[in-house]
Amino acid sequence: MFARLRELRERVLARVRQVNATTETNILATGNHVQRVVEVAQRHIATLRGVLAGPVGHEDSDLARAIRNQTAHVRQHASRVSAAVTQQGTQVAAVASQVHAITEAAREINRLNAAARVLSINARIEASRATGSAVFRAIANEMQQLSKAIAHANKTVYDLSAMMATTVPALVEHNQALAQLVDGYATEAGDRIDAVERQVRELRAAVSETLAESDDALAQIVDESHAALSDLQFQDVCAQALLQIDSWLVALARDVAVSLGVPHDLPNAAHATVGDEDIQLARRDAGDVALF
Amino acid sequence: MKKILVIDDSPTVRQQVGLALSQAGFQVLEAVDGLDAISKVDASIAMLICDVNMPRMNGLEMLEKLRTDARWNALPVVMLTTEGQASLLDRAKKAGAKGWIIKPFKAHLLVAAVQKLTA
Repeated sequence: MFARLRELRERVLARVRQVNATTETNILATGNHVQRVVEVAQRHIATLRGVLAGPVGHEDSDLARAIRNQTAHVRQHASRVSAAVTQQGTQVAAVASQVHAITEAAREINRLNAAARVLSINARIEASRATGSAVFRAIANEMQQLSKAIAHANKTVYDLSAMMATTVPALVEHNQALAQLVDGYATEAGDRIDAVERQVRELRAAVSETLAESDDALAQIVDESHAALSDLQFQDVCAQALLQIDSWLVALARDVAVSLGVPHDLPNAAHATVGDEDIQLARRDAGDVALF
Repeated sequence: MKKILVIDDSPTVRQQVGLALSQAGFQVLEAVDGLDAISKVDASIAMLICDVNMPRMNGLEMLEKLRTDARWNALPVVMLTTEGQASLLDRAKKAGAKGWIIKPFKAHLLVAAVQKLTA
């Protein structure tokens, strides 16, 4: 009877140890899975942070600097071109005004030349009189030659000013068209730059939001993993509860041995320090922390 | 990085305490019972987390033995156990334990306690 009891105790203990070992192995594997999930999540978020923060995530990233430099360059260039076109317009307007002055000067020269021709005719009349001297003849000839030369030169000035009077308005018109084109380009470039800057801001906000969401997700994964690990700790409680059966069997076997009057060289209970009280499997005070 | 020695005969508990504390930035060392723990305690350890029921030398015996050595008088020790009896708790207090946590522990509470005691 006692031998059967002893054998039963050994079988129970062996089975409890086997069950505990099996559950422990699986719980450890589960704990490792949880740990790996957390590690993968941490790595993934660290990589995400590196990738997203790299190009546009912060003000000093290479891409952000390149965009800033490029937009500043385009703004500066558009402003310079616009200033140059305006300056050219001013110069063209000045040339138009000068052409008008040249035409007026040519007309004045024409009037003076007409007066010179009258003087030449008068000198010729004086020379043709009986009292006329050779001096008047010479003067009349010189005046006629001078008048022809002036008329010839003035014709060239007239022709040039007439040509410029046609060309300069075309130049003014062309300059105005150019100014409009440059203004349009500057406006469009400004709009495009604004759009790029707006998109960069939106992208940076999206990156920031994604990273914040990732951090929240990681915090949630860590919290959930901790909760899962807390749940897994019931394996230890259950293992101790099962080993308590061995303590009871050893006590029973000893009592039986005493009552039968047989020697009881039973080995100690597998978990000798576990008390006699039933171990509570569902503990209401689980997780309580008392600091002294 | 502060070193915490976790003493428990259950590999499951050692693993789970280890995961919770390493996530919080602690370095975790392990011992399987009181005797093993005493052989591993040194000046680099900031705190001990110790089970009560263990083979060879239980947690309370280990704590009492530890306090006989002047070097470890002030070393914080927190008991982490399934036991809740007042007599055991009193014994731990008298031996100089700094806290008592009932299994299964909640990771954030355990981490908070460790951070407070090692601050």
